[in-house]
Amino acid sequence: MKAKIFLVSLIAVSLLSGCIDHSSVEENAIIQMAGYDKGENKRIRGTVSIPQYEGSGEGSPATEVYLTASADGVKEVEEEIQKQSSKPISIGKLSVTLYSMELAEEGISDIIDILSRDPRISRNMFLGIVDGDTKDVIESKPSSSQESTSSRHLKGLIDTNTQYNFPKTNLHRFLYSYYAEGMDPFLPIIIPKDSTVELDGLAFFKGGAVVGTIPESKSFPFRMLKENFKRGMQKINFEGGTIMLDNIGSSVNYEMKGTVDDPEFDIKIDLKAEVNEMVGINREATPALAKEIEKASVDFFEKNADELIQMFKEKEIDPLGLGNFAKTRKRNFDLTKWKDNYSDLKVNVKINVEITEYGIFS
Amino acid sequence: MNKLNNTNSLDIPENYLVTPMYVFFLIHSMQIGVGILGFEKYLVEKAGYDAWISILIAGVFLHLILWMIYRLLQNGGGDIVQIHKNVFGKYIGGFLSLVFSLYFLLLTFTVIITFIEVIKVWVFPSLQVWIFVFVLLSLVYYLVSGGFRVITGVCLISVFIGLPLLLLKYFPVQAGHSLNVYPVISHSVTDILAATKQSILSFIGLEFLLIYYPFIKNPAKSKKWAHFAVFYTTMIYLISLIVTFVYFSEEQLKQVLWGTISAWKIVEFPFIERFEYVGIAMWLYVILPNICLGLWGATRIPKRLFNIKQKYVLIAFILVLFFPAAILEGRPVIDAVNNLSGQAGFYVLLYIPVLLVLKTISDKVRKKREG
Repeated sequence: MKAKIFLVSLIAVSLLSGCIDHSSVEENAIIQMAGYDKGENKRIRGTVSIPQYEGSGEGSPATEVYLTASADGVKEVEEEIQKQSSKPISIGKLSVTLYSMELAEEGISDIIDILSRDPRISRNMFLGIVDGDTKDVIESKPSSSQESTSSRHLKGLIDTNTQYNFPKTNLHRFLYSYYAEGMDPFLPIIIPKDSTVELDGLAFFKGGAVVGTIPESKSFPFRMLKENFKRGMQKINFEGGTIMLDNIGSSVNYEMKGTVDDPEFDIKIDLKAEVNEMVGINREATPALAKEIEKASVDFFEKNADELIQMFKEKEIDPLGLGNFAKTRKRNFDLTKWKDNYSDLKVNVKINVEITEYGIFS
Repeated sequence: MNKLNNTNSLDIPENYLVTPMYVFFLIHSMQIGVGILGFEKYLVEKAGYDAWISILIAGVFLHLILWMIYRLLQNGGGDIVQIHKNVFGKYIGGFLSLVFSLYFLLLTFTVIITFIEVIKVWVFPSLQVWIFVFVLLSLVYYLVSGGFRVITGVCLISVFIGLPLLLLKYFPVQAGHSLNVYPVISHSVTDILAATKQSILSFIGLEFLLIYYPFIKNPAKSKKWAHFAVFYTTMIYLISLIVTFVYFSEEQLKQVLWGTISAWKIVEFPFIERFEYVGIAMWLYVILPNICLGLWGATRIPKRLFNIKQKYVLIAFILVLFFPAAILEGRPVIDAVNNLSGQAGFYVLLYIPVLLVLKTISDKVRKKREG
């Protein structure tokens, strides 16, 4: 008897579970990319891209639709966009969020708060600042794109380039430095060009607002200061010509000396590189030349590093997280005092470049 | 006649006993529950990145308490009910045992509503709470009415189901900043002790030994397993804490309500993008022994006191749990209940040394009178 009841209820449970509401991918509007611009009258204009799976059989490229709405807040944008969508929108697969420079310069603290609060949002999501209108970037899939949709294009663009010259970035990293004491976040800048979009530098935040930018050419030196990495290329001027340094391993090490009130930082960088291309230099690849190139590179990187740190001091930002570093190493760390002394902070950058290879031809 | 010998009458038939090794699972699975999902925030609020010291201090403290519990039980003639009766007499002792029963019920209740809160915030905001509570409590009724051995089995399974979740700590560590873990002690002793108290709140659970001790075969041999369990729990808490330190910045962690679940968010597999959903679902198995053993302990005490069938008490207690669990909601209420049960647990742990002293005195007095 007991076994019968058990069996019946087991069957009932497994059959009844089929009655639950279910939704398939085609019946949802899955937002994969969102962008926010400054709208009229202090409103926010949000644009989203939604891939369309229906009708696109195997082999044929997926298409996207773009919806735009203006509202006072980010959540309201979501609601306004829902009004235009025939399918329920879901933001669980949001993989890229863009903000226009105009908006970011005014501050996006409110939006950041939502990002850290909403459990549906992935911490691996990419954030980016668009120099221009995010609507243009989202709605125009570059003709040169290797991907089928613009959201996949941008995701791939950021994902790939942060393995090369651009420092690693995602929502978690951004929030980490946003909330940390003695550390400020940064995001990559994206600009639309004629037939393509490209990463074009880094935007530095103070609190929730962008206060400074660096061009793409300085991204490599910044990444050297920030983290260890194994790829990327840097052009260096040498005796009227140029050399491409191909990074095969860069490691950075911070050291703190002195007292809490009068700290001094040593940043040591070891860069191993290959040289595969020399343009406009008519010399033979000899160890002596390598030494000269190494010296020229050290000068180049040290100059750039000093300029970057000087700029950070002027803008009173700390993207390298030196304050955060000091906090974990020293007792009685006082943030306000640290901030007061930040502009006079001594930071010695010591760079060691080692050129190991010249390719397979000499 | 000799009263002490009389009290040794609590003999559990051998087929209800568990081997000493299972004490490891009983203690460990009871200590790991909803607390570990979000204990980091409260520790960091008190002692910042120095909170790892607090975990170690709390671990040592728990080893001491565990030693005392064994001292209490070794010649106590059974469980806490018997000890209370011997030390305080029938009425006061009985009353104190009932307080323990209510405390166990409160712990169970806390686990249920906190886990429901997690489900609602993270997975299903529009969850029909009463249906979930109904299904959960039906399952718990089925398990608890199966007796102590079944519950031990649940504990065993829960430990093994929880194990693979530990491997996931790799992901946040990989994404983290290793330089945060540096032994610079920048907080005062009081701060660190405050955090120690806070971490003890999530460590509670070993006091159930006071009630299931008679069910252990060769209890003296279970000692090393019990200590091993407490050590293992301390290590798991320590690892969890250090992983969240590496992953979150200090000020960020102060605002993260569920540190461990939030750290799961970075886990991404090609076949599953949001691991926290899987983690929360698996966590049901981790909290199941908490609810089962909690209810079993809570119902066992009235049975011992009033000699009524445990089944009736169980049904009554499940009804008592059902209605508030289905109705209560909102972060402030749940925080308040968590605080209350944490405080209660802290005082229960502090009560154990007091009880040990009183018991030693009363044993001596009795011996003198009889001698």
